[in-house]
Amino acid sequence: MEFLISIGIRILEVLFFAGFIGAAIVILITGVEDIETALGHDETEPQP
Amino acid sequence: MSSTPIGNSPNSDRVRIVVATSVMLTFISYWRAAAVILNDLGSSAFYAGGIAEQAIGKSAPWLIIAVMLFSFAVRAVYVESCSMFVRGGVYRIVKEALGGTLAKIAVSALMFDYVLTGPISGVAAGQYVVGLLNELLKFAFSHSLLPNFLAAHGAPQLNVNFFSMLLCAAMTIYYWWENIKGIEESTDKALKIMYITTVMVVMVLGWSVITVIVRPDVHLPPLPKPSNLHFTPESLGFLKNSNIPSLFAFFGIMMAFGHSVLAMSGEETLAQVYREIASPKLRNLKKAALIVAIYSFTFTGLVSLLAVMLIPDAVRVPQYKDNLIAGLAMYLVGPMALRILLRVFVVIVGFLILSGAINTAIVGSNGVLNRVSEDGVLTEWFRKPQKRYGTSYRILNLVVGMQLAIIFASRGNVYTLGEAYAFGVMWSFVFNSLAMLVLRFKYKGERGWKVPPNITIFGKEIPIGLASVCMVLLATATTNLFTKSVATVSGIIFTGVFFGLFAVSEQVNKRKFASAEAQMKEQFQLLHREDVQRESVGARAGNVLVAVRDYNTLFHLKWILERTDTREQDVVVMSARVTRFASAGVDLSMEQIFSDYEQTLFTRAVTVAEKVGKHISLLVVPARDVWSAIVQTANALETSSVVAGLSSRMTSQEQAFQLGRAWEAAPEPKRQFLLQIVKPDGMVDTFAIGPHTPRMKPEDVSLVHRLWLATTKERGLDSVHHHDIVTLALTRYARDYAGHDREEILRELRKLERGGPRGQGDASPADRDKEHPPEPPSPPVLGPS
Repeated sequence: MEFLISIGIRILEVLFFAGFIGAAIVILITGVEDIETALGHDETEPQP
Repeated sequence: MSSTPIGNSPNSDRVRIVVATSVMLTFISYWRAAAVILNDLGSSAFYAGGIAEQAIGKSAPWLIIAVMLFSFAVRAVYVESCSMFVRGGVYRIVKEALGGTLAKIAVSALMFDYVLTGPISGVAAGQYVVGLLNELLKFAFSHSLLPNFLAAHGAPQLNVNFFSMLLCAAMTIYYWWENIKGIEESTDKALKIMYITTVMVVMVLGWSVITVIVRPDVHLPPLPKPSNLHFTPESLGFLKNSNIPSLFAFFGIMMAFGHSVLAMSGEETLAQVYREIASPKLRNLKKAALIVAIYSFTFTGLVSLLAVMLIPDAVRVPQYKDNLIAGLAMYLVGPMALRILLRVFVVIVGFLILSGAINTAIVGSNGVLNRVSEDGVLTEWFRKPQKRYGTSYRILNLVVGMQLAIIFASRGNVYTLGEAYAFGVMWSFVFNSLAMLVLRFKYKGERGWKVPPNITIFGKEIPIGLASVCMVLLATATTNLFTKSVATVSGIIFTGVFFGLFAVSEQVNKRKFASAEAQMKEQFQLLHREDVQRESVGARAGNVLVAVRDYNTLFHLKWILERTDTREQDVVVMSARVTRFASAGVDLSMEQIFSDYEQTLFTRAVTVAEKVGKHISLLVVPARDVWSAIVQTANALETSSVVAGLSSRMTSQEQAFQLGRAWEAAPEPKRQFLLQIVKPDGMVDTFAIGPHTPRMKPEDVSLVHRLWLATTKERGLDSVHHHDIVTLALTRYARDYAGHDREEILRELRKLERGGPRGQGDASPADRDKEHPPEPPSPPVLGPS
């Protein structure tokens, strides 16, 4: 049981850690887009 | 005799009803949209910091700042979902991606979020108000300002939790009654609250920065390392007797993060206001989302940080845990009287924004339950309109009943409420992001924007950014299940009960709907149209538009039918189905818009038409605002007059004013029309909506004629017309009004207004002109003169 709990917690930790790095990249990229949007330049076009 | 409208199939006896499925909206700027969202999101700044510090210790502000940064990424998920479905929101997205069962679970979690928003905001407002009263009592006692009987046993103090609970219950009951009466939603109000909140934020932050510079003993809170996180038995939840938090250091940080997510509650509102945002929609949504993210990061994040830096440890948690910003005001540099004044201001602003959140919670819950009811997931019984006000009082009673039960069960404890609240917030985020991830592979339609980055491997696009956000949310929500025992138990029970209610209702509705559908198909033929068009309704230009809502009061329909020759002039009967901000979570199908209520309403309308023996056309339009819907429909149908019954809540002048205001706000091109408000006794008030030829008194006409006669006698002016006299008079009036004579003109007009023949003011923007006894409406085509 303890082993399963440990595995479960490790999985959660990996999900959280990897997700957090990815989310940081999202924030950086969208931050640049936001600056462009705020300055009036926007390349948003419908994508398939 | 037939009530079948023009253009109906000759071999069908059914009444044709055009159901427009595009909601007639009044669009708002991104600033207004941001204000609406911030009214919800910004309110959490008043309690999130205190709750997080109680759970994890002094490092809490760093975790709140991390949550506020992460909210930028969550915001990106909502922007993508809005770019796919204008009518976005959790229910729609989850249903599309994961099916009806999970959508019902997601909505149940969202309901938990909405229902708890009221109690937590109200109790927090109470904590600020009662905390201030206690401070003032202490101040009065120390300055011997209290009468002897109050000061006999030291400074009198109120029981903060108890009185906060009472205040919250009182505010909830107040907003319940306002909603029963049918409260008007106003982005103006949201914008004003945000103006005053911004003033407070600037004052508090600016003053705090000065204090940080001046005071030498100010330090940043300890970094959120595992050794700096101090969990209480309450914040360990089910893990309080386990050694897991000490064995897994990183897990401790996740637990701390989970205890701080409360700070980003309210993001769902982003999806709800998207429909209302003016064009270019996506760009404006992004701007609104950016404003919201920066504002809430500054407000919630920095205020929490400064509170820990400036309020001494000895009093911060014991005294100010539930009114942190008020505490911050008391520990700034400067004279005590000024600090108390700032605290009073903080409490006023807090009361405004938090009490507004109570209303948002009631309106939101009502909207969500109304929409799931329309989707057949909740029985029609819940939506029965209140007799006098026409609001869904049973849903309001249910929601407010639950909120009052929660308020009294919490006994005014913000921490307990905050713990439970996080469950609904987190799981609605999880469902939304998970569904969006599934839709990346499942949905092939247009999407305006995607959460970056996305990489393509072997022709398959991998949504790295979206998956990352989803992973953080899922890991945090799962961690919270173990560490937030109150939230887990209450959230699962609440969600389970609501899910059960939805599932049973759906089954009941399916059986009921089968027979109702058969009945409806016998009587009505529903024609789906995206927009309202004259051709689809089968009405000629110059028609009469009759607005109906209550099937018990159709006297105005009878009145107009008795006075109109429908061979010459068409009569269109229109019902506006009002949708609210919070209802944007669910798409409206044709059957949802044309519900049992509309069926009864139109059955009665057809009966009236049959009795009089006239043709009518029927139309249902979903709308955000009834007045705008009437104006937009009248424009689309090239209507010459609109007929309405007298409202139970407004005078005819007020009704005309509302319609006039909607006309002014409507985009060009727009037509002028007459508004006739029919009273139950048969009296009619008629108003001209939009610019129109004014009715001139005989003496004015005579004056114009005399001036014309005199002018034509002048040399070279023999070909002047009457209208030239009026044009010149108006031009000179405009010039004088814009110049030095403005005050004199206004004085004279006021004199006319008081003693003139009309005696009553204009019902401007609608010009008012009473008719007694009623006359049949002519189909004038009015235009600017």
